[in-house]
Amino acid sequence: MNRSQFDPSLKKSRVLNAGTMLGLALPLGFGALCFAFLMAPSRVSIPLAARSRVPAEAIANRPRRVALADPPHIAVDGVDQNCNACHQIFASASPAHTALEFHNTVVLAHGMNDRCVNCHDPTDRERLVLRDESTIPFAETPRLCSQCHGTVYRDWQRGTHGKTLGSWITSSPQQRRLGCNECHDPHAPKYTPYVPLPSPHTLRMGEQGGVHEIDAAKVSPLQRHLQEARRLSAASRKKAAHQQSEGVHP
Amino acid sequence: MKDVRIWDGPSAATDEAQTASNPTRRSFLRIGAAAVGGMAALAAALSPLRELDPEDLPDVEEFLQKHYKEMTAVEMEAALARIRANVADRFGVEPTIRDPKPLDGVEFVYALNLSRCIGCRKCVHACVAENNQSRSPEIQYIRVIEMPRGTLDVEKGDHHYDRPQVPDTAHFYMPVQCHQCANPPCVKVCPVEATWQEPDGITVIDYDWCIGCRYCEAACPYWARRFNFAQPSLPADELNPDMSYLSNRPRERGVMEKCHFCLHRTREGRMPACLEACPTGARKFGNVLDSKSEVSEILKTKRVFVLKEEVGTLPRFFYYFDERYPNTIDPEALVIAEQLREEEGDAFGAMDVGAAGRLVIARASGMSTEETCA
Repeated sequence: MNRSQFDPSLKKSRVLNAGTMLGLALPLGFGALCFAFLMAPSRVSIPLAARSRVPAEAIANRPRRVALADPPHIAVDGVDQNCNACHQIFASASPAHTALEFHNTVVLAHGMNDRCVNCHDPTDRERLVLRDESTIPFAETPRLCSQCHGTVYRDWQRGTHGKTLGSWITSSPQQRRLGCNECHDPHAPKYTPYVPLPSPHTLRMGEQGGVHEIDAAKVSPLQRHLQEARRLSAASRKKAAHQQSEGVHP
Repeated sequence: MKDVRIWDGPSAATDEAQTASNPTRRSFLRIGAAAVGGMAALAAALSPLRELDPEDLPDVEEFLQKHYKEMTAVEMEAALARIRANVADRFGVEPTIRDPKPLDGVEFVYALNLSRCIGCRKCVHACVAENNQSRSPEIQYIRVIEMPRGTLDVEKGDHHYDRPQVPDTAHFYMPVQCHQCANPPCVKVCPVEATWQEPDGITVIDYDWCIGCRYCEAACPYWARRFNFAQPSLPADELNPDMSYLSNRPRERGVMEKCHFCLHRTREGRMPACLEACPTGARKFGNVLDSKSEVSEILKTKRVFVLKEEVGTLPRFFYYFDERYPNTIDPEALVIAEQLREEEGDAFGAMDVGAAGRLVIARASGMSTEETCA
């Protein structure tokens, strides 16, 4: 209820009552806002990060490495030769001999499997040799690897290890599961490190650098809070321990 | 008691009666100020229109186009023709745009081997090249999170890692993209039904129907949805002309987008682009309704988990591990092999690998050499 109804002395000052003030202030406020909006730059400038280019080569769709054909052949002094072209003329060094005079670009880093004839057939260099001394063509490399890497071979057969290209349809003729040596170098099967492609730089994602474990406290309010709590509890524990030690040895 | 007025007192009624016939100075000021203020507010509210780019306005056909599910085949053909002309006009390339339908008896599932992922980000950039995302500002569907080994705490994860080489031995890598949930929260919150789940499990977006409210982005627990804040920029020479209506056709400013399992490829039997670029074979894709498919084998035989299972989204994107991780040689075996090499000399070297292996295992388990060979 308005007080002016009962207090005649207030009637004269009605021009200043709250309603009138509001009625004047609101339009004035709107006017000021309008002015500010109209004076603002017409285009909001969105700062854009420079884009990172990725060479098409880096994301090409192909097996990680090119496996030797079957039967294998390599270029010797620029001439394409089958393996047996040389190996049937020249005798190989003893199986225990590891220092290579030829093929010396081969880096052998296959764990304890460090003898050529563990895998290569000593008599026919265009075939591979199994442990029972039977030989297989290069195209059947997974059988050779399976002798030691049984669980991986089982996974590969199921399709849970390795890479499949072409089609996801199991009955499709385009579907092709890559062999062991199309990803792994048989002489050094461990993957070498990669240089990662550029990290994202999306404005929405904030500054580059992300939340590292070390400066998590700077970025995350929760981490800051937890750190503060930990510090306080450590301080109070220390204080309690101090008091206790004073109590024991006055 | 008379009527209660909040701001004018009991004489307001007479005041108004006066105003109609003979306005006082006060009522004139009040009405005048209100009118000016109202106009000013209207002008202020409309001022963002000055920033409207004529390119942002849809043409009449696009404006009148129906929702994807309501379009007849003829109307879809007209829409595709319009998009084809737009793309040719904007990029100078004639695209092969089509609208592949879901296949019968197919439900797509993705599986990712965390033991194999090395964090090289090839999938991220293959996806960008395939799906015509904006290059600057950058839009990427896949986020590779680097996390400390022994944790699975995405809060401690970092997707901005910039190392000279990966993988880092103290971390593991977890790529996250749209999980194509069977119970998708993003679909539920869309106020205009611009996003929905297809029968083959892919959640799609009708870019012409999206109003850009970003509710879906907020609803997604996997940070999978991306918004075009600015007009997407895409150099004409990087445009992928192999496109479809629901997947990788060029988007406009103010619409949402996300991973769609490369449906223009996968609905035609091909593999997703991220899988083809992966150098380690960590990514597996297939039909979960086919018991012989790779993803079915993984679900049957591997240790599988889904991200944020507790939120109940039922993802179609599974993570799994191999039995042994990291895949390294037991260092003890190497020491024993070295000892044997010294003791046996060339005889050890001439052994085949199986015999040498048996010897190492025997030595490690405390048996004598004679016992093994016997």
